[in-house]
Amino acid sequence: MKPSDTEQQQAPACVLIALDATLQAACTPRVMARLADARRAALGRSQRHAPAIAAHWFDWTPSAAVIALAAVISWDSAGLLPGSIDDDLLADSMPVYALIDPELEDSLTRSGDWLFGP
Amino acid sequence: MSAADLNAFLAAAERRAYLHARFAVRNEQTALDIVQDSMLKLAERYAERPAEEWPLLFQRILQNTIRDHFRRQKVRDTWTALVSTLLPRQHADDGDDDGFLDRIANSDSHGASAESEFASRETLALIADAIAALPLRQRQAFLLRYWEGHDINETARVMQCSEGSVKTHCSRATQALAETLRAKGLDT
Repeated sequence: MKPSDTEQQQAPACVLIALDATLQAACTPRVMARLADARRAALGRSQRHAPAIAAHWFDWTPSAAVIALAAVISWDSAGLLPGSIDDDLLADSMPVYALIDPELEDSLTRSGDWLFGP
Repeated sequence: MSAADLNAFLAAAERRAYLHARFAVRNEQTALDIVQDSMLKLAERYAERPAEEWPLLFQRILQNTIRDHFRRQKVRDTWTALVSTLLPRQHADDGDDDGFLDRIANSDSHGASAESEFASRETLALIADAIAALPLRQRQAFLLRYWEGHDINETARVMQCSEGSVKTHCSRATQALAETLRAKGLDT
């Protein structure tokens, strides 16, 4: 049978009637009480859900901040963090020869030879 | 959505959900646990969704919870089989409630003295037995499509399969039911 033909088929009416009757018979007072308990639990869970999320963030924010601070301090002490922008600018502005010989500039300034010659 | 809306929806859906689960697992306590888990999941995750979406969401959660139950049972059965090979055989059934359908036939029988009422209850049990004997997917499709009244598209979304599969499952379930009932002398 093609799937398109199957939709034309109807469920036996007696089966649907029997299902409704089965539902009535299966739902004893004990079952209904248990279902009501389950429903109340679910409703309670839905009403607690939003405050629970807020409380979650409230509880964890200080801890997360302390952990992040400890990580930054430990990285910094281990030398894993890059230097500041000021340090980089200072390094770029120094003459190249000062990097080669830090005492060269002082010695030339003292002798006055480095601008005008001997 | 207010809690009152959710309460009204769950109150309307819980009995049918229980019967879905009951047919699937054939155990009262397990079926109730499945319905409770489904309710909790819906309330936790989808309570803020529009109420129009709840029926399909709840059905999908229910069917997935039933499927998860069988997956866990399969794993548990594997270990049980391994252990049982090392232990002497005891009771074969562990909590299965195959008397469910018999009890349906005998339910509320305090005043049931008339022969016709007994016959109708017996017929009811036969039909319920035939439904319970259907394969899981066929029964799901049949109940969702014909009993719950979902259309093909909705049923396919709940069962997470194609519309063609739903049609096939429904067709096979209907044929199987008709043949079973005819074999037992019931005219469908």
